[in-house]
Amino acid sequence: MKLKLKEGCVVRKVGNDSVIIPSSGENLNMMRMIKLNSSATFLLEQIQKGEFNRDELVQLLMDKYAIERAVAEKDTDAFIAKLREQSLLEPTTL
Amino acid sequence: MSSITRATVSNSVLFHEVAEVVASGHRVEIMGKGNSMFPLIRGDIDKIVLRKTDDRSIAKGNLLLVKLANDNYVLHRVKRYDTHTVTLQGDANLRGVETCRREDIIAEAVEVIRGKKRVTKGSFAWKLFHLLSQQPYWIRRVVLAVWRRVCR
Repeated sequence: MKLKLKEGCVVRKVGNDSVIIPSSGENLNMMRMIKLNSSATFLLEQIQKGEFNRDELVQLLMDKYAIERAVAEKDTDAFIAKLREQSLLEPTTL
Repeated sequence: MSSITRATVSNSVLFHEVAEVVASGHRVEIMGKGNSMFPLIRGDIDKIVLRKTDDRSIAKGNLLLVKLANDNYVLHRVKRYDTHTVTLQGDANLRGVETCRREDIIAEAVEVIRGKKRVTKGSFAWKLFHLLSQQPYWIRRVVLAVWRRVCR
């Protein structure tokens, strides 16, 4: 299943990293701002395209950082779990 | 290793982000800090909704988030203004005022979220707080003292 970032969230670059500002009704909630490092930013950029599922993200991470599958899987799963925990993924992708 | 954490950012970074996001047309929520806008805004309790300023934002009684010359940020009520500068005062500040240039205005507050209640710009409650801020020094002093005791 393709992963997609929840509509209304705003993603902004801060140096090499990024922040996600979640929406709270019609407003953006600056108090729930989430900071991502560069590899999490890379994964987020792929998710924003809305074209990749979990396994494809694992492959993209392996290609980008030349890491083993087990490491990439652990990383990707942790990342997706965090996004779900913060309700930042579209419900249809859960 | 990918890392995703709740952002803990300094005030300068936070308000820089607020300025950018608001300028792009979004409304944002931030937590009220300090008690200079008491009783309308209770620090670390009430949330404030900010939006991009428009032609009518610089008007007496409106709440503006501004950057001061010392790089501090305040959200206070417009006391007076001219073609170049705006003077603001916190509702709970009986004497002190701040002055900034018009170009240092970041956003206008249009709503205060007090628990489940919302005090929206233009509402009766909003006007009541504005009315209180316009009262002479000694009336404000008495009302604020009583209000603080009641809220304790």
